[in-house]
Amino acid sequence: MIPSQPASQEHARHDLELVAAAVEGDALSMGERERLSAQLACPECRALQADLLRLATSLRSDLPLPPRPRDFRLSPSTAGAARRLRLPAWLAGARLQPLAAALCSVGLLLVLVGVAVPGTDRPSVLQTVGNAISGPAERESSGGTGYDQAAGAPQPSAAPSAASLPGAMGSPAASAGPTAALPAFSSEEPKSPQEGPRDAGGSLPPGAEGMVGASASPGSTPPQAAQSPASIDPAALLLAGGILLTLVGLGGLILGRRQGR
Amino acid sequence: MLDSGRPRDRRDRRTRAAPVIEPRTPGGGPSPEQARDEWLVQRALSGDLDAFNELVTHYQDFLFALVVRMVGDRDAAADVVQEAFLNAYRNLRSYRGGAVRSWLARIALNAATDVLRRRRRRPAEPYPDWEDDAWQPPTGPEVDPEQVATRRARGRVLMDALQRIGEDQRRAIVLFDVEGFDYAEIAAITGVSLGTVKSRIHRGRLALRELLQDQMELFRE
Repeated sequence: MIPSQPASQEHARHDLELVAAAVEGDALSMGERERLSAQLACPECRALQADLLRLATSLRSDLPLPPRPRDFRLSPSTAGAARRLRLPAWLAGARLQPLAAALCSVGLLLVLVGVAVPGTDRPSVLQTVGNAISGPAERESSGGTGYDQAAGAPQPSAAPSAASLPGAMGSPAASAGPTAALPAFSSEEPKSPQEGPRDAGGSLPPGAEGMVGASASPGSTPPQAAQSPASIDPAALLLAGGILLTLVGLGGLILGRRQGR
Repeated sequence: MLDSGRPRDRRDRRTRAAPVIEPRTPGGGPSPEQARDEWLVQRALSGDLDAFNELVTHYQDFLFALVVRMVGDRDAAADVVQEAFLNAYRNLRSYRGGAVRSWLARIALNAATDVLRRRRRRPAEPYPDWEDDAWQPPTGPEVDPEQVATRRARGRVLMDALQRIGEDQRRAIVLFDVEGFDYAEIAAITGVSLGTVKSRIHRGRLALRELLQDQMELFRE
């Protein structure tokens, strides 16, 4: 017992993976061979080598082979269903996931930049994203689009102060300019001064009053500022775009994962 | 000293540098199995379900044996294999040539990994059905009953120990030791480097030996 104690301590310092590699006959460098030769003088390493050999042999020959419980051939109906679920070839397989991951990354980056830029009206951004997702369907069901209404019948009488605010992006007047390409923005126009707490007066943020005023008294203010491209808050655009891209990317990742299995 | 006594052909096949992912005949063309599989894939791609089902017939036993050793119970394995064949059918266009066997193994192992991940989230003890006699190979009257009992005992403890080692190591060991894939094929199937494959196999065997330390007598007989 006493002589085996130092041997065990010595064995604890041995590289067992080297012994395992030697069992498989993996190519070893000259240095590794020398180390292995020294290690195999240790009885425990020799026993380990022999055991690993037995295990490898047993894995090959002794593992029970379970009988297959059923036939896995596909019926025409199963195959048809599988085909219907298939993505288009250009989007399937290995292409979708990198694309979706890239979309996610760009989206998150835009969100970060959008958050970092000061002056973003975040609640309106969320509303904008919501409208962008649900807006078209709603507008179609109501017999026309906010975009059409805004582009076809611009309100040149919008308050100039509204154009300088993020909230002003909801104004039809703002959508008459380059913002007309953003139908979601034009769909969230306050319906009337009587709706919500805004009409109480006095509690509104500075610019929002102008919006309310614009719809309450059309024709009372000059239109020049409302036509300006500067009426789009870039931070809000970044946030909205970022959130949309991230959502699309996440959807793509989930879809790609299912398809790639 | 380095000669471990393993069958030489097996070791040589695994360590040679020649590409082994696409088995070739000595003349340089694809092996008969590969040529047959590629022809079947082409026919399946043109909408011939019978051709795909022929592939299923060739590989369903192999895939089921592979998956059941990964997930440990037959019901889950059957579901995984069915899903794997469906995914293969759905993604036939993603087959880029090479061994269909490896391609199917990769699809099935991915599906098995999902099952194991779900199981980790919701742990449940699967019924240890490898104690069932249906798992055991049929034996004739000429076989020594003691030998049969020993083999069964070894198989049982090995299967149990396999389920207790890490998933990556188990995958590598099942592919290498049980199914006979070589390092390069395993690297292609699992998407890791050759060195990682070797390391997983070596560490997996060491882990098995550690787990079976008290039962090694069974293997020394």
